[in-house]
Amino acid sequence: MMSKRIGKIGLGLVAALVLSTAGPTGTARAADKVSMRLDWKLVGYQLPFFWAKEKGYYAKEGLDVDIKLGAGSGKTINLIGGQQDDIGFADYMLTAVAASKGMKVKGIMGVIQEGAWAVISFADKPIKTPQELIGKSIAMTADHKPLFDLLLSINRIPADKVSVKIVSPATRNTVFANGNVDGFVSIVIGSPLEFVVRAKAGKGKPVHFMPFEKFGLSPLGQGVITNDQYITAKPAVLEKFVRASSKAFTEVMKPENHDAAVAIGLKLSETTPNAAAAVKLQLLESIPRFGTENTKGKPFGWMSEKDWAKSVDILVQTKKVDKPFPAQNLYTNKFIPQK
Amino acid sequence: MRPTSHADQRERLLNVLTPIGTIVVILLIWAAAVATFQVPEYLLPAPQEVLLRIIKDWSILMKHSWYTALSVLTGFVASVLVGVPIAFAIVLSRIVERMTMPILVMSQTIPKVAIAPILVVWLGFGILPKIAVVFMISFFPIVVSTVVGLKSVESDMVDLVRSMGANTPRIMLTVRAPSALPQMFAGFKIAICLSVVGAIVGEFVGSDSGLGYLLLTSTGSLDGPLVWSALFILIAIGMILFTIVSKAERLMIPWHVSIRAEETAIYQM
Repeated sequence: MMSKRIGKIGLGLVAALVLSTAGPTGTARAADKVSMRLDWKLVGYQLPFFWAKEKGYYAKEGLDVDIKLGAGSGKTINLIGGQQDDIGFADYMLTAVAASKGMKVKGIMGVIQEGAWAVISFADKPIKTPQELIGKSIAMTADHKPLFDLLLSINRIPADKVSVKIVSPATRNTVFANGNVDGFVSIVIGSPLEFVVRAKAGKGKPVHFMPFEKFGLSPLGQGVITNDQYITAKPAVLEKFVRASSKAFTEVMKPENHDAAVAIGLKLSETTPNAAAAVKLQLLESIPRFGTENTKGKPFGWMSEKDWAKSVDILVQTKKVDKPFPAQNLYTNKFIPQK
Repeated sequence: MRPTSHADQRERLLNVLTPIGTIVVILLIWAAAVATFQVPEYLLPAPQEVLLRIIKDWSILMKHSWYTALSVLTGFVASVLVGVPIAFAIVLSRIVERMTMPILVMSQTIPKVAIAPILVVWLGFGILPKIAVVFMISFFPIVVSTVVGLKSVESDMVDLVRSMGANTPRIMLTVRAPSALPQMFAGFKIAICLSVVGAIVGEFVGSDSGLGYLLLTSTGSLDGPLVWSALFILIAIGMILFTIVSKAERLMIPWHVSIRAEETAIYQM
């Protein structure tokens, strides 16, 4: 009797052991944790990532995405290259420079495919052409200086004729508003639109934009990046991330979703509600730049080799990279959903 | 016992060769590690690449070094000229002590990286905000070390001098101040190292010159050799300034036990 009882208990224990080591069909599979680093504090073109998280698109793909704000594309690229974060959102020109120096980073989903760099100045003392930069003081973060140097170089303006002030991201807009500098460098679809919103509300002076693209520098803008090691180790995760993000971008572009997307972005990034008007304007200004002539008819995020080659050419001509290298080394479309 | 010239020479030779030898070993290990592990240049360039870059960009590095060194020295001297009299006032007057010490402590709890951007907005991009940050960062150790030094005089000595008719200012100048010099110099040595940090913090926040500016722009363009070149020059500036303060200490207080102990060690070899 006793031995039968022991036998039943033993059988039960063995069954429990077998079940506990069962495969996915027997247990819920934990979501893949993904660390994403943005390029800046909350900006309109980032809203679809927060939308995807809030709507559960990442969760449906089995991803637990932690979206972190950034402090400049250069820092984001360094973090991705150093494998401190898995996925990043950063400027593709800076990504190309980093890749040329041996950093193993790649673009995997183009977002701002038409670069939106500009020198911003007050409308009452506008800087309208690169020649008008001579003798002026221009603030920028260290990450943006290589692009500004490119602009000067293309327009044959000696670098020592322009007073460049390197500032921290936190200080840049403040020193401009305070009149410490004549202008600053930024992407148009980012924080400079806060000045536009303030001017419309009668709380500040209107600003003038001198777009780089009008003066020979129309590089790629920003997009999603990752490092080669992550591409090798987790291609399925990247495919799922891009798929969920593409769906979010398609939905956020619809006018009826703009306000909701802004509200979700403010909530998840813990940004003050005062920023709502500027963030919405940034989104509106970004949408036309989500593609180029070369990406027409292609799925969202698909990148054109011509656009990349043009950007590499600019870097080579202005000696920001030591020697030419194939544009195919800088990006991949293999994670873009075909439909 | 008179020192032998051989012992003296050997000691002096060791004092010079030991640190140089240590640095050479570190550089060799560094070079070997970079070559062995194929470390990318933007992460950690080989030391010979850094040296070549220092030689190639010597004029640029010196131009920016001068700017940083100027803000370090100006801020440090200002903190000495302001800090030491305030310390004297604190020791002389209980009311001044009660008024200023809380403010001093509060000022130290404000992170300088938080106040530096505000200084740039208030004072602009010139050298002034950098000097202000250097001053704020080096002021506290100077005041505290001077106060401690002035208060550390044995009370018997003060009573003796007072019994001989000396008034408070005379006691301060002839008894307390000389006795406080060792602690003051300890504070100066800490402050001069902190001053270098303060200058770089100021330049990181907003600048158009200086080694901090150079570090930021070269990091932004992933120029590893230039980053490390600027770092080495910064280290050299800090070490030179620290050595100057140490030499001044040896000149001012040759009688102090810490200076005498070094001399005695030579004599006993």
